[in-house]
Amino acid sequence: MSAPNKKFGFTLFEIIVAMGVFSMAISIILSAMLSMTDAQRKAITLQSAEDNLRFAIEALSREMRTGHGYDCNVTGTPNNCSQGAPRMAFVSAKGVGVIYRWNGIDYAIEKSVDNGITYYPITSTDIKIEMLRFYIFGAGGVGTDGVGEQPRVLISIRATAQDLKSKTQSQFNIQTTIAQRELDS
Amino acid sequence: MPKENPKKLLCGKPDKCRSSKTEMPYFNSNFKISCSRGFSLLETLVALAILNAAMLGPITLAYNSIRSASLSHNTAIAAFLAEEAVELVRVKRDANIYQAKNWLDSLNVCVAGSPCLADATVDLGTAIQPCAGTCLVKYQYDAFTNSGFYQHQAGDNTVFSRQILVEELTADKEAKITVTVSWKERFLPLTSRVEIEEHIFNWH
Repeated sequence: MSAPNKKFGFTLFEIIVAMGVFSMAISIILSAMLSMTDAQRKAITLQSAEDNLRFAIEALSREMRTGHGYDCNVTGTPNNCSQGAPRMAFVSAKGVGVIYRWNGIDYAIEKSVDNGITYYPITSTDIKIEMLRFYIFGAGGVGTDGVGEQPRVLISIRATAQDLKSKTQSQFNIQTTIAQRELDS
Repeated sequence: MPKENPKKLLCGKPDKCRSSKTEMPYFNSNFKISCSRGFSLLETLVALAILNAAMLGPITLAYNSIRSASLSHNTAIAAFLAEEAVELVRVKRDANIYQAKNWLDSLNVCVAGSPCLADATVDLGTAIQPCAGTCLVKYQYDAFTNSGFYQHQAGDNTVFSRQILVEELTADKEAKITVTVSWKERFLPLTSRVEIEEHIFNWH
């Protein structure tokens, strides 16, 4: 038995094979971890964007419910709007004229309390509002079929929550109806 | 070297195993696997178990977060749809009183076993009626006008179905509305649901 053979260690071949196996395992684990982080980030972005939109609709619908004089122009007189419009004006419970509208350039929902002179966004830039439409039925206490009913607004929203870093996005459609609480007729 | 040497059992000196060409400690009759190099089944299992435990945590975490993101997404839509049905029932009650009908006209048919659907896109006269079958909600998007509706007539089937039940608690005074929006979540075994209960009164 020669002297080097008695030394306990690894041969070059063993090292290369071990490193090969190791790097393969690490690359698999790393890619799995990366895609997991990506999915995680997507989930977080989506949730915060959805929270934002939910809050905006909640605030908007509360104000509409307690207000009156639903109109989808900006004149402030009750108006049926069965074809829908991207804006809506009404008088809030405080007696203030409020306008909500869709901004198709910034893709945001905007609000104005000074008769449309200035608008400010109520949704964040994380969420892209692709469509916002208000459909008004029964304005002034008369339904489209000519019989007495309370005014109601159908709000239809299509939004995309986007995450610029991972380029992932998720689209969702929301619809709700709001009935005026104050009796009209 | 005598075969009874206890050191051999422990395999304490690996170089001894390597160098001994004559004794073949691998096939020692006293202790068969004493000096075999490589991993035993037990060692492999333990190693795999540790690896599993380390990987399982993060994977479960990510899986749960994706699942709850999908659940919260659908719950948000379902909550707004349920709210819509409650509002429609309320408007219908008001219209009934305006038109001097029974205050629960076309609402009192929405009883257990025959739930109603609510369609916000049509005239109030036909908006609430018993639904045959599952009360499935459909969605139709019109790219030309950039508008879309959840309703019951046309479009693609959604995962949601919406049922309205009306129960008159006190005759001519109080009724309980129960709106249930249910859907099958992709990663959950059971049906998810949003249920809203509201009490309406005959204000006439």
